[in-house]
Amino acid sequence: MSGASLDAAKVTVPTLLIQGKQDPIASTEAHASFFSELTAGDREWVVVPGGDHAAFLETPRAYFLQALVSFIERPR
Amino acid sequence: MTLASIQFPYLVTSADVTGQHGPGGVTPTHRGLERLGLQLLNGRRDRNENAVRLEREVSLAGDQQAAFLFDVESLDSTLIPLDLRTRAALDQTLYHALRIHRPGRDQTIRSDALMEGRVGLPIHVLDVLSCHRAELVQVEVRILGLQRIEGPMHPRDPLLQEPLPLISLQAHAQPGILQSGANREQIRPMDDLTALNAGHPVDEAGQMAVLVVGSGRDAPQALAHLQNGHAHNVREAGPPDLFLKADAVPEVLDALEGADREVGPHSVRLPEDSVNGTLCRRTCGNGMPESSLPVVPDSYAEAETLVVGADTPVPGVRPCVSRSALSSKGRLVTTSVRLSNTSMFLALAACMLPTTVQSQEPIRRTAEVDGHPVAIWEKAGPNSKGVVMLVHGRTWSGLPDFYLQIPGEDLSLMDGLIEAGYATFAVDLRGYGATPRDETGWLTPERAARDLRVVRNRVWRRTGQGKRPILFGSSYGSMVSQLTVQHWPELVSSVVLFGYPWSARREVPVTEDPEDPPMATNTAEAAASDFIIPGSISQAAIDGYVEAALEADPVRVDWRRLHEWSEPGRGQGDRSHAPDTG
Repeated sequence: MSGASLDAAKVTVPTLLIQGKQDPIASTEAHASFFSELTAGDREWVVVPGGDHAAFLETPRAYFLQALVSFIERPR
Repeated sequence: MTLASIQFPYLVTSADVTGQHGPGGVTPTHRGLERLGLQLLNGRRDRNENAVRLEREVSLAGDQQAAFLFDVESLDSTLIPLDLRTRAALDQTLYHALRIHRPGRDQTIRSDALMEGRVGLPIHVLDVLSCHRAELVQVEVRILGLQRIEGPMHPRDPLLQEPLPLISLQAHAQPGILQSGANREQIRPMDDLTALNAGHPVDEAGQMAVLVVGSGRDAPQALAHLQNGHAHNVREAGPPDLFLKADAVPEVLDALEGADREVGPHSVRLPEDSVNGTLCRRTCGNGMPESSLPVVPDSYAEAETLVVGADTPVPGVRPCVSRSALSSKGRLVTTSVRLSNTSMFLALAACMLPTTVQSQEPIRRTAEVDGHPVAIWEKAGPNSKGVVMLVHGRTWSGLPDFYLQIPGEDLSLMDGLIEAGYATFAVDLRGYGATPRDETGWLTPERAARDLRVVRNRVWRRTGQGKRPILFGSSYGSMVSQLTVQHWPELVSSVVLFGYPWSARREVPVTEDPEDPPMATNTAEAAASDFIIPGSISQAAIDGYVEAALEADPVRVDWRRLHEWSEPGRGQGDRSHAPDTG
C-alpha cells in the first residue's frame, strides 16, 4: 500500500460526488476543492436540493437515486 | 498455522476402513457412510492425498480432555475444556469430519466429531483430544466433506443455540440400505433431472438421492415442491440426515481459497463455456483442477430452486454436476446426487457460489480479514446488471443506513438500487452492526480501507467475478471509500461519495495511540441528528431509524490514528481536527 492519506489527486477512477444542499457536514468549499483536484476526468458533482446529511432517506431520495444510477450507467 | 495444502477429500481414510475404533470393525463413520449409501470405494488412501491439511500446534495439559473447535472459514481452531455432559453429548453423535494425526506417534486418534453450523460462522467441527501428559500436539485436519449427525444434534436440539439452516438428505442412494424403517419407497428420478441428465443417465431404478438445501424453514417447501410433480414417492424421512449451514457453503470455499486471494492454486474458476445445458463434468480424481465447477448463467438467476444431478459413480471420477432452474418460492437448492463420494459437498458449494440470491431480507455474508470476520449484507433482485457496495458512516452501520424499512414508505437505498437493477452489498466495518471489534478495540482509516478491499474481493467472487463493483460511501464511509480506491483503483468501476466530510485543508497531528477505547453509548438524539430539514422525512421514519440504529449499534465505535486521513505537511494551516462525525 502506498500513498496514505486522502488526496483527491490520487483518485483516478470515475467519481461521483453527491452533496446535500443543506448538509452542514459537507462543505461546498471543501467539495469544490476536492472536485477540482480529482485526477479522474470522468467526474460529476451533484447537489441534491432539499437534502441534508441523510438525503438518500429523505424526500429527495428519487432525485438522489436518479443521479446515482445515471452516473454509474454512463457509457464508459 | 500454516495451510500446507488445499485439496479436497475423496474418501474416508484407512483408519476408518480398518475399523480400529469400533466393535466389529465398523466405525461410526463406516456406519454413517453406509446409511448414506456411500460406497467405500477404496479403503486405503494415502494419508496425504485429497485432504484439507491444516497444521496447528496446540498445548494440552496432562490428563485433560478438550474439544477441538475448528472453524472452516477462518481456518482457525480453539480448544475448549470438556465436562462429562458435553462429552456424553459428543459420544452420541455420529459423525466424522476430521482426523487428528500426531506426527511422530503415527497414531490417528479417535475422531468422532460433530459439525455444527452457527449463524455467522459457517462450520465448526468439534473433536475430542485426550492427553495424559503435557505435550505439544500437531493437529492435522482433514475435512471429508460429508457430515452426518444423529442423536442430539437435531436442529431443534438445545445444544444448538440457534436454529440451523439445513441440508436434508433423503438417503436412498443404495437400495437395500434403508429397507428397514419407514423409507421403503425408492425415490424415482425427478422428471427434470431425467431431462437434465440426458447424456448422464440417471438410474431409473432409483439409485439416487435427493438433497435439499435451504434453511429449516425452506425444507418443507422443498419437499412439497418435489412432491408436486417433480418427483415421485418423495417424503420426509424423519429428522434430516445431514446438516450444514447452507449459507456457509460459498464461504467455506472462500476460506479454502484463501480469504484474501483472487485466484489460488485450487480456487474455483468458472468456465464461460459451461453456461449452457449440462454445466459441469468433473473428471478429477486427484485434487481439483480449475475450470471444473459450474457457473450459474443469468437465465437461472431468477431461479430460487436449483436442481443438481449427478452421473454414475466411477472410482476416481467425480460426479458430473448439472443444474437447472425450477420455479418455486423459497430459497432452495435441491440436489440429486449419486453419492459416490464426498465431492457432493463441493458440488453444492459450486452451485451456490456465483449467484446472488434473490431474497426478501438482506443475507449476511462474511469476509475474513486477517482472521477477523467482517459482515456484509447482501440483497439482490433477479438478473442484476451490476453490483453496488455500500459503506456506512461514522456512527451507524450498514442496515440502519441503507436498509431502513418503514411500513408504507420506500426509504431503503438498497431497495432503490435493486429496483434499478443492481445487487447490493452493505458492509459493517469493524465494531459496527454485525461485525465485532477486533482485539485492539479500535478502528483506523487504513484498517477500514484494507477491510474494504477484502470485502470487495469477497463480493466480487460471490458475484461471479464479472463487472467490477461500484463503491458507494456515505459520510465517513466516503472517506474510507476514497482511501480504498486511492490504494487499489483496480477494484472498482467507479466510486460515489456522499456527505463527504473531509477537507484537504485539514491536518491531523500524529498522536500517541490511546489505549482503552471509550466505548460510549450511542444515543437516540445522535441517531436522529442527521435529519435536519423539517418535513423531509416522516416522524415514523425518524423513529424507525433511531430504533434500528440503536439496536444495530448500541455502542459508538472508536477510531484512532485519524492522522492517517491526512498527509503530514499537506494541511495549509487549518489545524482543526479530522471530522469525527458523519
